[in-house]
Amino acid sequence: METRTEGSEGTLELGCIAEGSCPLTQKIENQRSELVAQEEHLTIEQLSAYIDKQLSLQEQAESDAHMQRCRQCQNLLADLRQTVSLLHALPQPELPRSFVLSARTLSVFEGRRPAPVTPVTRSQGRSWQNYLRSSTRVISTIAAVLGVIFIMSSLLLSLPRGTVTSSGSAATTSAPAFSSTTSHPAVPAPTSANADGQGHNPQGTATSNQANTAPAVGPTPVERKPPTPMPTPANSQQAVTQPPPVPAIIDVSMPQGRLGVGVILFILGGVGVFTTRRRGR
Amino acid sequence: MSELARDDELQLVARSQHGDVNAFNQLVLHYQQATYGIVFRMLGDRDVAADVTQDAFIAAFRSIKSFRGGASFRAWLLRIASNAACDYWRRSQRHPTESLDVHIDDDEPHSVSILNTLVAVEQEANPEEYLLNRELQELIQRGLQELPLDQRLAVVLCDVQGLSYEEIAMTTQATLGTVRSRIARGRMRLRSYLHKHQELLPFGYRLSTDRE
Repeated sequence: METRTEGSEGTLELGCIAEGSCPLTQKIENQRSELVAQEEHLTIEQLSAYIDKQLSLQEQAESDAHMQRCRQCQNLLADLRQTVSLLHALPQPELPRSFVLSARTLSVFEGRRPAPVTPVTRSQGRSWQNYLRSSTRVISTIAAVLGVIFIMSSLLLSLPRGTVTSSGSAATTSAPAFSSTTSHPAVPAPTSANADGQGHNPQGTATSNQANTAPAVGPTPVERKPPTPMPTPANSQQAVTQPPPVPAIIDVSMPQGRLGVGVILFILGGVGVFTTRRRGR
Repeated sequence: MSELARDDELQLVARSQHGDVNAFNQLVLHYQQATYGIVFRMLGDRDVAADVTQDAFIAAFRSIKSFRGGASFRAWLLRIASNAACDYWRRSQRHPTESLDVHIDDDEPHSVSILNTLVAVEQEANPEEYLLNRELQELIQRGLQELPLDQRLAVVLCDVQGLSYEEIAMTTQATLGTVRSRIARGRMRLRSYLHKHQELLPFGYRLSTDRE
């Protein structure tokens, strides 16, 4: 605005100096500045976009027309152009080093922030491994516990064999051991089946009868019955993992057989627990 | 900067998404100059800019799975880098002890890059002109750092790096209108800053008007 009034004053002065044409020039100039004053100046945004040729065709035409008449907008445009060209002239800074990622940069970064580089693949692998490991561990633990129970029961059973009079009480004490094995429904089923399936001699039935009848009031007999009809010979062989080439050692009806089975189960279970624990670290 | 063929770039991106660091490093080699240039102009300190740029590349590699093939990889990468630069700037403003203003002036002329420039300039022109240029560069850099972050980023992307309005919109996740207005206000503000420091400008760069 100021420029324009300056401009019209300038022509006024000029007109006064050149006296002959004074009124006419003044009139024309005044009309021109009124015309410019009526329309809006270009906004900064329009001027800036004008530099980048980002105006629509219509805007572009209007701006061109306005710029021809308006010194102020011309000056501002020149200023902005100058600023832009200064920015363009700024050199690209020289690279202080290459930013290529090395194993070291990645590991340093990981040290600083806990999340690993490939969290997705690792967690996928881990969940699968975890599942396998934890299930192996559970089975191994159960096997080891069973082994201990077998060992203990064989020891307890071998005691009354020596002293005949206390056989009844020994049977009753061995009975809770059996009932505790049946309280694990998944794994002990095959082993107790093994006991029933292989123990055809009267002693075997006697012990199982004793075991059944001794805690007659307790819930154990009821629990013990269902597993008996279920297993097939193949099933029992798989579960114990030891086919019976030497029946005496795994003959559960005999105390030494129980001891053998107990030791085998205990060792297998122990190895399983040990290895899975090592892998977890 | 030679343009990486779009197919090649997509392939490198895909390999990077499967964890191939070597493929990603080819992308790094291609874009590191632009990335560092933006971060440096945003922050004005070479060492800080180098650290921020390095972190930005690592962050990009870690999150490259989130990049969608249809979009511009350059815009995606520059967004990560400019976000990192803005974050750093905000942090340094919040803790004035580690403010960048302290670092601005310890850009001594004996640093390798400046010596190289000096040699190059001396070979072709008189050293006086170089000195003026360097002063001018520093003045413009200071002027940039006076701008609000969004305007600074828009101006750096547009006038220093030469990105199109569309690409700036993608990089800054803003509309074209917003981009246009940020660039305009940033330029205007920078112009006023330079105007205030007219006496530092070399004669040929003096701004034409003083209408105040």
